[in-house]
Amino acid sequence: MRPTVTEQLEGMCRILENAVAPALANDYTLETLRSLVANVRMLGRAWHQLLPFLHWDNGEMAGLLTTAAHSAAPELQARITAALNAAPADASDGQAAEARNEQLRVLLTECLESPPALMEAIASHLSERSRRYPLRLTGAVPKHKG
Amino acid sequence: MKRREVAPYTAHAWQHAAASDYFPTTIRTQMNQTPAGSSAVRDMIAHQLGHVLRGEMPTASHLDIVELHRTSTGLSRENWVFEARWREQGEVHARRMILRRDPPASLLLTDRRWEFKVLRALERTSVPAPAVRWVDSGECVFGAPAMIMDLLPGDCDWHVLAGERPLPERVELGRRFINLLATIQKVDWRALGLGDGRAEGAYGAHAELDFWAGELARVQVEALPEMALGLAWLRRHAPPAQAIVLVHGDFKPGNALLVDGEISAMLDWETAHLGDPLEDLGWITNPPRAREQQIPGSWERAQIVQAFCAATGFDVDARALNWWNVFSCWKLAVIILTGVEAFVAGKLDRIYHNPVWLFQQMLSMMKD
Repeated sequence: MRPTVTEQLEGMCRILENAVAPALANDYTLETLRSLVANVRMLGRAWHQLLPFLHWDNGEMAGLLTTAAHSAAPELQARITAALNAAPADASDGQAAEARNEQLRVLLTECLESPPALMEAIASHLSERSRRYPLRLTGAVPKHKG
Repeated sequence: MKRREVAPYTAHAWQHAAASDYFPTTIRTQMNQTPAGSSAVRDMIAHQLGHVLRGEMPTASHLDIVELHRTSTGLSRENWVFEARWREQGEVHARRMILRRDPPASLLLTDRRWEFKVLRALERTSVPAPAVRWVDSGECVFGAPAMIMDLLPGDCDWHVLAGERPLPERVELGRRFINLLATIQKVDWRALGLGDGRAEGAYGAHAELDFWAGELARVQVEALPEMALGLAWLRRHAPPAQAIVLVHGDFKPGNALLVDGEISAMLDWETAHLGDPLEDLGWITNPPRAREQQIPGSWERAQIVQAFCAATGFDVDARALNWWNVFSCWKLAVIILTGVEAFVAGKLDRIYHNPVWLFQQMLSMMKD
């Protein structure tokens, strides 16, 4: 599969930088292009980490929600149980993993009145999730303005 | 934007004619349908600037707008710099100016009338800030709310404290920033008419939380348990304010101009408001912003807090300051999430991501 996705994304950056940027005279447009190139470059590094990340996050949240269900109100408990018992989607389906992630994060947001030990575990997971999050762009802030 | 909305502002630095005297009603549509980077927008801005300045300076002749361009900086407003040249009473005049115009979408939803009012008030104080000339909070002049002010000389360097200047000079600069903050906090906001009639107890931590929670609700596009957890913690631990002062809201070297190592002006007053003296200090000492605000080993949290206490006379409670650090992370996350919403709605030319670097710091500081 050449060029690979990574090669295509890196190639896009090269073309935008070498062929397009020199023709731009407008500061704003040039800065906009630079930030887009930085983003494409980040996607090139991160895209293959997305699915493993989502599977890990979904697995961890399922564990937390299983515990949370014990102390949740009946209506929330029922929704958590239904979500956790849903038939698993194709593991290679990225969109399904994303949808599952959103579904579980909605439920986790509703479990923030859980007992202290579980709250600590939820906070710990959210911190670890933030550390592992692949779509991370450390954008350079503008250095000068006048 | 309830907190920062003010009654329609009628005092203008220049005599202000009705906007409809200048402009066709279709200008908003034209401007907002034209790509931001296109030369057509620049031409429209130049055309409108000419109309505004001619209307505001009726005794001027041979008015010309030159060197108009949009700067690449400014994450919340479009900044268009230009030089106005004109003749008046036989003399040739030139003035560098800047038009700050609301973009179709922004990281911040703020009110140009309020920013204008704050800047006009600061002209009566020793706080160095740009002279503001004209404001239109409507959309018929430049297609969006806009403000014209003088463009001041000086360099703006976000990382000046970590830069190449000698260490003693940078430490002294850090001290001057704190002294400037103290000057801002000593502004008599009551005498300047910056209050809105509410009791002082209505300002401070809870008011800030209410405001930014409203912003989060407005822009949130997905589940964010990190933000919900942060908000619940902030509500449980909100500290009382020892006084109510003028808060800049984004106090950092990146919002200051320097001339020969001196701070010549503080910029970007759009998020200024009344609140707790520790709010700006919490923003300055917030760990994720250490690279902009601190000098490792020489100008760190302890030195900054000590300088703040000496300059302002306020006490700094460590738990309260930690609360404002957590709040700073949370508020900045709301601002970035505003960018996320605007991008996914197709309204912003810049891609913003989940501010997970802020979530990490925020969660680590949320200790009961």
